[in-house]
Amino acid sequence: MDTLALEHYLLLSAGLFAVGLVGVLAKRNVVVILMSIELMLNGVNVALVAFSRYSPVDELAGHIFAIFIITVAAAEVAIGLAILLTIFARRNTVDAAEINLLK
Amino acid sequence: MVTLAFFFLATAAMIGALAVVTARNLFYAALGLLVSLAAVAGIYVTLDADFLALAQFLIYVGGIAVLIVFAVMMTAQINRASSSHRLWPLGLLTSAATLAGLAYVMINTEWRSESRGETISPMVGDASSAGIHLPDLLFSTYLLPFELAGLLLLVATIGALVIARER
Repeated sequence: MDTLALEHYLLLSAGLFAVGLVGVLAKRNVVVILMSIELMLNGVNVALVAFSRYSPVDELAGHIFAIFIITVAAAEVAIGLAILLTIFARRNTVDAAEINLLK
Repeated sequence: MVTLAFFFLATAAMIGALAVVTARNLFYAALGLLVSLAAVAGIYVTLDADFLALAQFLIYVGGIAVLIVFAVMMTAQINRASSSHRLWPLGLLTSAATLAGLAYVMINTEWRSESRGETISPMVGDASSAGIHLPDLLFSTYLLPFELAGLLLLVATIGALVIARER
């Protein structure tokens, strides 16, 4: 463990992704689910930037990818929270199990 | 030094992430997310991705986290954060299986820079010294996606306003 390798970053990325996955699959509060999605996206970003850095080719494609993922994540959170606030205003709940309008 | 910083930041990121899924209080979950996102910004610095670190800090820590804190305050069910639904062990199992699979693949893959007989060592400053800069790429090769991202943000802004407005 004296020097940093690609694997260290990849394992961190997998860890963040897995923790986020637990949140998405197991939690009932929609706000927590949104936060967990952010965690998963962050995990993916770490992997992309690490690949970019340790790639034998001089490539910044990983950075570009990460920038676009951050952009999409920002849009996703804005829309998600807008929907959440509307549902909360109308049905007074943020429980994913009780939000079944589409059933 | 970088190794030390990496392990410190990685620990902080994982602790923050675990706080998001385990905290009883929804506000603590949001704080955990804040810590995790800030730590990931630090991770980007250890990867020589300074611009991304800054963007991460401004957009995630400054924007998204604040937005989520607002949502936490407006949907005042702060104590129900930790409630999981009946099938949560199944979710935990799925996630553990995913983690195990990913870790197995990551550790057992011969990554290309290794298989060429080189030790993987960070290419400090290589990308910029070779004349490849992020803005150059963004405004030439990736110009179309860049413009589309701007359009996406516009659509998302208007969409969020339309969805959330008082009727």
